[in-house]
Amino acid sequence: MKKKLSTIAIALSLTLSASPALATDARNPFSNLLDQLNQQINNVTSFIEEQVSAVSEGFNELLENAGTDLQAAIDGAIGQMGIPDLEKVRTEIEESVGAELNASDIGNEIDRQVTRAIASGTLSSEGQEQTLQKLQQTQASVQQVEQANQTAQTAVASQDVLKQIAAQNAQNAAILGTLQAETTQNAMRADIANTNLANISSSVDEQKAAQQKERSGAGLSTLRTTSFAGLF
Amino acid sequence: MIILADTSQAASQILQEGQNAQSAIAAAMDGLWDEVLGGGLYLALVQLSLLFAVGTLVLFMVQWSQAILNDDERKPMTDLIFPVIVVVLLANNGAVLADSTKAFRDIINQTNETLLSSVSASVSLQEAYQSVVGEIGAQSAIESLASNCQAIAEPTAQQNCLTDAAAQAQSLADQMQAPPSNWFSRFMDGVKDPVGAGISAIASTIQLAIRGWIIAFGIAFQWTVEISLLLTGLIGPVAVGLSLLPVQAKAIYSWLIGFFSVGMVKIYFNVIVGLVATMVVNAGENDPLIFAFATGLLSPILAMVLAAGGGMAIFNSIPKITQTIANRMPDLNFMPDEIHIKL
Repeated sequence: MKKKLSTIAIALSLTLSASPALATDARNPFSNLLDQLNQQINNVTSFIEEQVSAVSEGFNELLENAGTDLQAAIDGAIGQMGIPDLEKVRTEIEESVGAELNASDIGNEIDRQVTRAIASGTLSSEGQEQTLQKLQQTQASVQQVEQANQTAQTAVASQDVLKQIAAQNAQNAAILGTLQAETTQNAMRADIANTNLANISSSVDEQKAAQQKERSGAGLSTLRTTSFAGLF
Repeated sequence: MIILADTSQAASQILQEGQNAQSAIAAAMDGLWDEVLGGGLYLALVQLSLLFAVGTLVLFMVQWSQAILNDDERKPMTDLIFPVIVVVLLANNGAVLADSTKAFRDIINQTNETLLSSVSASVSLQEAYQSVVGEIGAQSAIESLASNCQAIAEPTAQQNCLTDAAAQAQSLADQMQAPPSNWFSRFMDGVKDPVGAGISAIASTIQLAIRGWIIAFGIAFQWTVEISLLLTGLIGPVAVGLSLLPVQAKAIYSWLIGFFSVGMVKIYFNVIVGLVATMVVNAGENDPLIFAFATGLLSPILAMVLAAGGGMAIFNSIPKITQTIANRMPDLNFMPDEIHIKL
């Protein structure tokens, strides 16, 4: 995903770096608009990168806390975004610890840690600041699109109108980039939540099965004992 | 319902195996007696007893010769019986003693069998006990099967589960040896009734487990009583070997009384348990937990107390009988003062 985002960012900056020449030549009051746009794109890109690195940092802490075996398991399963591949980690833990021991408990704990690390990307004070910045930037973009609209309304030459449209397109692309980043992150969060739900569901089933086995075990062992009964 | 199917198969298998095991253990006890009373340990004890017997025989001969020299006629002639008994019992590696011990056991067992097969009202003690305990076991298994259905949240699936459990309960009940008693039939009707199944098959895991433990305690008591009898029989040679000691209480008497006391524990236990079971059968009502406590926990204690009381009474009475006889003989004033005071 990191690659995809950087591709979008590069594509956007290429588009924008091509346009400033046209915009500055136009001598209109919004000539510095494209600079602002460029900066906004950079901000969005760096925000995404920060998000990713914040999550990765969370994992580094987790890795420090985990035992060496676990660390090996997690290291072997780190994906391109720095987040461990949860399925792979679980399999590796089961192979190293043995599924009959508390491998699933350790797997669940890794899942919980990942969840916390990702949640802290949004809920920590830094994350909140970044979210606020992002919202402000989006708000600024929307305002600028509106301003470009008003400017285009009052513009006389159709070339000026086209330039305003080009500026609007750039702003729209920035907003779309933010949306794309958000959507991807949302999908990730939903998947993490689903993983946890699956863990809970299997734990509940295990508990119920254990209870049932205990009861049938008690009944059947009583049957076994009583079948031995006889006076002699 | 894969889990239930497996459990039901396991249940029939367990029932079958257990019934086979019960008769196998009763048969194995006979084999154990032959093995121990003809084995190396018994031989070693017989040889040790011979050593005791020879040692005490020397003492006995000294006393006896002294009595002869003192012209004391009655005592020597009666006492001469003991060396003869000891020699006969311990000769040929204690073959006669081993056979007599087995014969004593056979007497106990025959009495036991007669008691167990004796019919009170309509059913023998053995049949009553086996049918009641068998029904308790089947009930426990059925309850545990059916109560697993309680955990199913969906009503239709739960009904299916209960129907399935009822069918399996029926197949388990069909394997019972005796025809079902009133309370068991009522329980089965409750399980089969789609509405009542939820109520009649409620079982707590702890109750199921405790039932099993206490009944197991009673069965374990039976096994250990049988082993105690064997152990008492095993030390028979030592008691015989020490019987020539010049003391009032003869070791062979104590041994015989001990042996029959253990036999009495066994008989008392069987009678108590059999009577409780007969009571339950006649009443047509049962609570598995109460029955388990009565037969598994209280019966062994009661049997021990009764046998100890009876055995000790007989044991105490024998020296007294000897004293009484001795007191009637005016010229036998060899007894220590203490015993006179006690009398």
